[in-house]
Amino acid sequence: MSHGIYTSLAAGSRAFESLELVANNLANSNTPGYRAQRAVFKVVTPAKDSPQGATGRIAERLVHLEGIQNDQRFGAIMETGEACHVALDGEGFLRLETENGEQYTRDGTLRVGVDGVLLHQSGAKVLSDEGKPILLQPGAFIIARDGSITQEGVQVARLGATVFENAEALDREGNNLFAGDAAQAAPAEDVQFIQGALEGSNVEPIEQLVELIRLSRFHEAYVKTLSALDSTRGQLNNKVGNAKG
Amino acid sequence: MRALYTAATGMSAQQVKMDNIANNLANVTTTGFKKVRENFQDLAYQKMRSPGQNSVAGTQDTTGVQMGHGVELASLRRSFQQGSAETTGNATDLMIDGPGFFQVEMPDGTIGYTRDGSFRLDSEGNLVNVDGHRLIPGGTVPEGATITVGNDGIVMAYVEGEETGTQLGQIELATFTNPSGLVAEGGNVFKVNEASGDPLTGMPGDPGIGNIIQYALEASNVDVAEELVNLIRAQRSYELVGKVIETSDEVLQNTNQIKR
Repeated sequence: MSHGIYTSLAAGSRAFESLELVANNLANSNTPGYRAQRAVFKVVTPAKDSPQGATGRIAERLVHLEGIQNDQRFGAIMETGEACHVALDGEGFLRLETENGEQYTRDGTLRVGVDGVLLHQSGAKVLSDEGKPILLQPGAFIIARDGSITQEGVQVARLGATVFENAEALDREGNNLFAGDAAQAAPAEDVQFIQGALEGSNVEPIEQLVELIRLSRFHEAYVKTLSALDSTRGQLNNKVGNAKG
Repeated sequence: MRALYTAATGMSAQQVKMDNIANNLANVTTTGFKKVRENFQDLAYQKMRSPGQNSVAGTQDTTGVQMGHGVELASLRRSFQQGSAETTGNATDLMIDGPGFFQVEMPDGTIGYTRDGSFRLDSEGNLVNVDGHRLIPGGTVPEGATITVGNDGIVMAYVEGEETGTQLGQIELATFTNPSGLVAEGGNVFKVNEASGDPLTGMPGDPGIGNIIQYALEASNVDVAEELVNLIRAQRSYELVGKVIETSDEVLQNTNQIKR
């Protein structure tokens, strides 16, 4: 079989993957703290010493989905006026204690549990800079820019934030949570906490629309290439079959 | 074709957002109404390849491949931000400046909690809310008497011709650890729930309870401009996700043409 057909098949599959990413990004364009997903594609050429490469034929080039990155640009900070809402201004993630160990989020939709523990909307406990759950007394609380939480003038705890060197590769856990390797985590230094605000999704609708147009045209081209290859082969079969000596 | 279903979750999320905005906007003039906010979260991801695993290209993958499935409604949470004061000049109109709730006796004997202080006197002289539920603890106001309610909730009755008034009682207010967990019963009344925690009662003026202001009502805390901005955002997101469905359809249509 000709190489062309597999090359274009690989390309066709990439269009479907792109489409799934755009769908997920646009579905989450109003999800606080959401980080857009970005596909990284790579052209793969088999090495010279591989069975295909060694024959000396023109090596088949395939487009391969190398990985999906988390877009780390910041979302817009929207004021809500809610005491339980916190936006992170700057690089870093809120630290949370979940059933599956420590996880991280940019979604500052918090609430106070019945027992006074500060929770993320997913139910995970928000951790302080010392990695401990934060216990609040009934009544109002103030979160300062540096993350310190005060109640009636007394500091109760300080919110902790973590930065990752490879934040674009953090695992996505759903519920606006990310999981990462604790060994690569470091305390965030250039982050400020803004009470009464939330960070919106960082999905850029224009970029997603452009991607949508691109992938749909790309897919069209793929279909045309396949049809052309198919008809070439068809003609070849017919003509060779009809040739008389 | 996962993209179709993923996009559909986005459309239904924006639909919920619009439904909720409609309810907020409908209550823009409801006394003591507290707006509701929608919170969304992304759905679980299918991990097709973990970071660090060797990719087809033979290089070590640094980011992994995780495909998402869209969005879901995480919660609808009520915002108990203070509404603005509207003076009415009516002696039985009360407003709470602070986080407390009035307690009213519901027909089934339980206690309902409300921020709506538009009370009136029933035939027996009891302070009752718009639906006729009695404010507790309350006193009986003598016929023809005028009442004053202090910031501390003390209700005094003055009968015409008498120099000094009589103290009828003191209004008690309730607060909750997590007021967003209260269940709305309609009629501007909330019921206690596991998520809200037990009520903590206190006297108006105590720290963390709030003051009572007579001759005023608390307006709805719905901000029309904010709701309209949210409505536009929801509508545009809905349209955008709709484009994904359109494109998915085109791609599938093209795919079907491969085999003639």
